[in-house]
Amino acid sequence: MYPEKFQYFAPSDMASLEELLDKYKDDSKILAGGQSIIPLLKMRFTSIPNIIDISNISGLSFIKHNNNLEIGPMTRTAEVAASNTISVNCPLLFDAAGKVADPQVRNMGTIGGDICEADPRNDMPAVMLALNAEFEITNSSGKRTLNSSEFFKDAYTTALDSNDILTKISIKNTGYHGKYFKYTTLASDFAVFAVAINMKLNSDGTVKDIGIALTNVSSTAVKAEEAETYLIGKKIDDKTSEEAFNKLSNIIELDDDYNGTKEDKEKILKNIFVKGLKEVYGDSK
Amino acid sequence: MMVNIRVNGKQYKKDIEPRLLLVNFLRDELNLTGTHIGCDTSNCGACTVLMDGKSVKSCTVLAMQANNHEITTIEHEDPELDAIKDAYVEEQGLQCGFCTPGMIIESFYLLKNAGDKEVDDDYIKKNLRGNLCRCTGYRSIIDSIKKANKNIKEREEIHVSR
Ligand code: FES
Ligand code: FES
Repeated sequence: MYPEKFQYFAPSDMASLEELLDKYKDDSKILAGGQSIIPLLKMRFTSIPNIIDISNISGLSFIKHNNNLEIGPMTRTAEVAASNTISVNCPLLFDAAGKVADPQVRNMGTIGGDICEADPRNDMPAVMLALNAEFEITNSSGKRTLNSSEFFKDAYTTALDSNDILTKISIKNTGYHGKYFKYTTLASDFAVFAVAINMKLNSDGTVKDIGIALTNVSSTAVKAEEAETYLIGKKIDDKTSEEAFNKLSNIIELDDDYNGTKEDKEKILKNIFVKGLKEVYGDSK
Repeated sequence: MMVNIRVNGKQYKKDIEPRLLLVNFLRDELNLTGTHIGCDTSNCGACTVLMDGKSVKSCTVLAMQANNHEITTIEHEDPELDAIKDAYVEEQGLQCGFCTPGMIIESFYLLKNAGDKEVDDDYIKKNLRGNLCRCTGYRSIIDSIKKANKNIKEREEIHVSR
């Protein structure tokens, strides 16, 4: 299968990238690893006249930890999943990165591409929401910072303008316990749905801070804000975690599909959610 | 557009259309038809090749993305890769053979990157997640990889003791 024809650019510095984006605007798209966009182009779900590959620009791939954890958008998912810095400081991200698709896709795919493509089935958007990550956005007129909670708008739609580039991902909430509970079928490595949990406890065993977000339960990844607020200051047990699940009703829209009926899917999701909360709580103690 | 791609140790310079996929570059431009196209949708792994030593699905990589990079395919001549091919024959790790080039390249990759991890069922299954086989039921593939690991290790020991 061939994509429709396009012009290909591979600028070697940020200035030329900004120039290209200013010139082609909506008729262009950044290519990071290509693991989301190339399949869409091949199946002709979309066509993009100007593809701008950013893999030749140096300085977009890094993993640093000072006070915050900072990750460059071109860092390959496999590098995130193998990084000691990330495993120590951000177990949720470490766990989730290792669960993205398969080894080949992780070798090519990037964390920034996973976030910016914003496919509702992609794993990183929910992980970013649970981590309260911040994104540094650059364009020809300067830099600005966006919180992940204001970034994901709809399927394949983010707060990025056509000339914006995600240049850094910052995570303040390090030193938490966390895991990514991903439910898949054998036929696909995309999540039927998944739950990202990041948690820190007070010394008395109550929840000090918690981030929860879900993959593929709506047209975009969603942050479970009501459930988070409810759980703060509480201990997690059967009762509180089930109550937290009930707080999701406003944000999840499950439908009957080839993965199962709405009712069945809700049951499975509840199971994963409640078990997940208790598991991360157990790890945190 | 001009691309410079090193494939199995040989440098190729070609004028291609930007939309050409790496798998088609290998098969149609270079006539290296060992790399297969199975699903053409990033699921099956039949098209797996190494790019700078890392396994990728060449149906989901533009040839342009491989510009100035090094590709390794099933046609590559390498004693370790040969040892894996032999093990697949010994353990009957194939039936129709369609998935086999991708399986062998991914095996090559997972054995090279095992580090101090034990190459057991668990490790192999995790790393073969991106490769589908519609014939064998995977048991004989897993056994082939274990056998290959054993053969390669033994050969290394012989080298050292000599
Ligand atoms: S042909 Fe590339 S993954 Fe199937
Ligand atoms: S041997 Fe036939 S698909 Fe694997």
